[in-house]
Amino acid sequence: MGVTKTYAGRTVVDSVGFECPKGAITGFLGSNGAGKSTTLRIAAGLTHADTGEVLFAGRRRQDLQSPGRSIGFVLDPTALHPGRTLQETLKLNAMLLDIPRSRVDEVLGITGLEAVRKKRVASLSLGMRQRLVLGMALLAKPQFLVMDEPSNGLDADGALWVRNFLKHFSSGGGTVLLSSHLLRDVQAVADHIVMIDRGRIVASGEAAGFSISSRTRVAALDPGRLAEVCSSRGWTVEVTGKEFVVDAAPEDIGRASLEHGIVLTHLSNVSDSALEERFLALTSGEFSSRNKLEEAR
Amino acid sequence: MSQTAVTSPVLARMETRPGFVRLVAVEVRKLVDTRSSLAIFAVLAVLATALVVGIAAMGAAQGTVTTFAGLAGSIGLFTGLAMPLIGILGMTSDISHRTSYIYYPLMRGRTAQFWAKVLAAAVLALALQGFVFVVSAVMALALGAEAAEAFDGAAPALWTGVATCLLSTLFGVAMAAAIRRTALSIVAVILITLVGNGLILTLLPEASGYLSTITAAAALLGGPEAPSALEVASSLTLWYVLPLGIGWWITEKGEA
Repeated sequence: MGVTKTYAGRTVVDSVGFECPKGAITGFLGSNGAGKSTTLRIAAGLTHADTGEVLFAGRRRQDLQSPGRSIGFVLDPTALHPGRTLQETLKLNAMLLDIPRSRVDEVLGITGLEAVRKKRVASLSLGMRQRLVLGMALLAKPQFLVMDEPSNGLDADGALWVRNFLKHFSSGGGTVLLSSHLLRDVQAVADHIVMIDRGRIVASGEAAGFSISSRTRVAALDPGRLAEVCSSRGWTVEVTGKEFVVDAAPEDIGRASLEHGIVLTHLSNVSDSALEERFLALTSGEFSSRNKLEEAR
Repeated sequence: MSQTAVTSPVLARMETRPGFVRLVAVEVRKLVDTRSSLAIFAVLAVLATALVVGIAAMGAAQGTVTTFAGLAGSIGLFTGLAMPLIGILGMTSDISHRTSYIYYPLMRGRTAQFWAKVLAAAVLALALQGFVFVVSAVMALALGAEAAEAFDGAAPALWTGVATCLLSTLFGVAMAAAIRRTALSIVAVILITLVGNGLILTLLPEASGYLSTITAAAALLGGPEAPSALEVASSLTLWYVLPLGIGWWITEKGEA
């Protein structure tokens, strides 16, 4: 049993129930429309569940005296007043939760928004808005973080910063529920993974059980010699035209080729689509955008 | 048990619910912390000043004694249209900018935030009304009337001004609470105030006391034409209690 939500006869969240261990990051994976955001909206009290409830340390959100001081929600970076400055947006939350104003300065520093504190939200990029929403969630130094696609709109540095922050937060005892449709985003940080498809949980468990080995696409001036070197190290080599796909990390292949004086002409991670294939294999495999595109054709 | 659990130690820290006064203070701040909202208040203040000064100047030109009561009570239409605007903006701002997404999760329920918005709009409307009083007092004194004469009948004027201000503001708040769209609420208030009441009086003269929006304000003025208690109760229920109740119900039970 878990939370269930139905809209106009369509069940968008169907008995979704799982536990997020303390001091760990739980990745909540699913494609767009799988029911992740509705589940998180129920957790935030924005949507009422038909049945079931979300508990934080055994208590319902609405039973906490001041939920905003214990739970940080990072839900929608576009739901901000465009006419307010960043600083004012944070100050309002601080005022509402009775948090010292000095904490606003701290959060501006933590999120790297100090330089733009006087800018209006309307002038911010999606990435900066995402940082601001995260900053708002962190104001009260919460014990729980509930985040919906926090990497959306962030550049590579920003996404890395979020990942590092979440690791730091959970190592300090914080509990994180991280929702994303990007397997790689979740896999990089999550200790536990819950997969949802069409409103139902289809898989869950330790992240290690979902691990996907590093795979690298590589090409060299002397492909035969490169294949030998890779095989000698126990790596599986798949030949795809003039390139190989090797089940090793790019840096390991780079080191090996350097040691043997092999000139590489191409070296890259195997694309997300391959990761997605594996993700789809664990879920129903029927909801991918690719399938929808094919149907449309 | 039917639940999704997020496990952690007992939440003991900071278990203090934000007080209602704090919520009202936040809502007041939300009403004045952007350039556009400040511009709206500035325009309203300038309009009120211009109206009071204009009426005082006309009175002086005609040689009539300009009193505080006369000036403060002379801008009824301004009050009737400007104060609801404050109420509407206060009630719909979070809805139109979807900032309820931010504020609802922070609190255990939505009811307190809803009523804080109502009170915040009333506080700011009273501040504007206070400004009108000050301008009226200054003009009454500036036009040379003796202080005693200038403030003759000031107490009832103050009471009527405050009550009318609150009624007008709450009318806007109630309409916006039920309609939940800024532009639609503004149009509804203007139409009902300028056209609706006239239509009711023309089409249903016998029932107009029960249906008009201005029945409660008319009761404040008293006199032989003053509406009955039943008419006041009917009007207040129709234009204030019912839409506020609908708005509260949607806020509490609806999707954010």
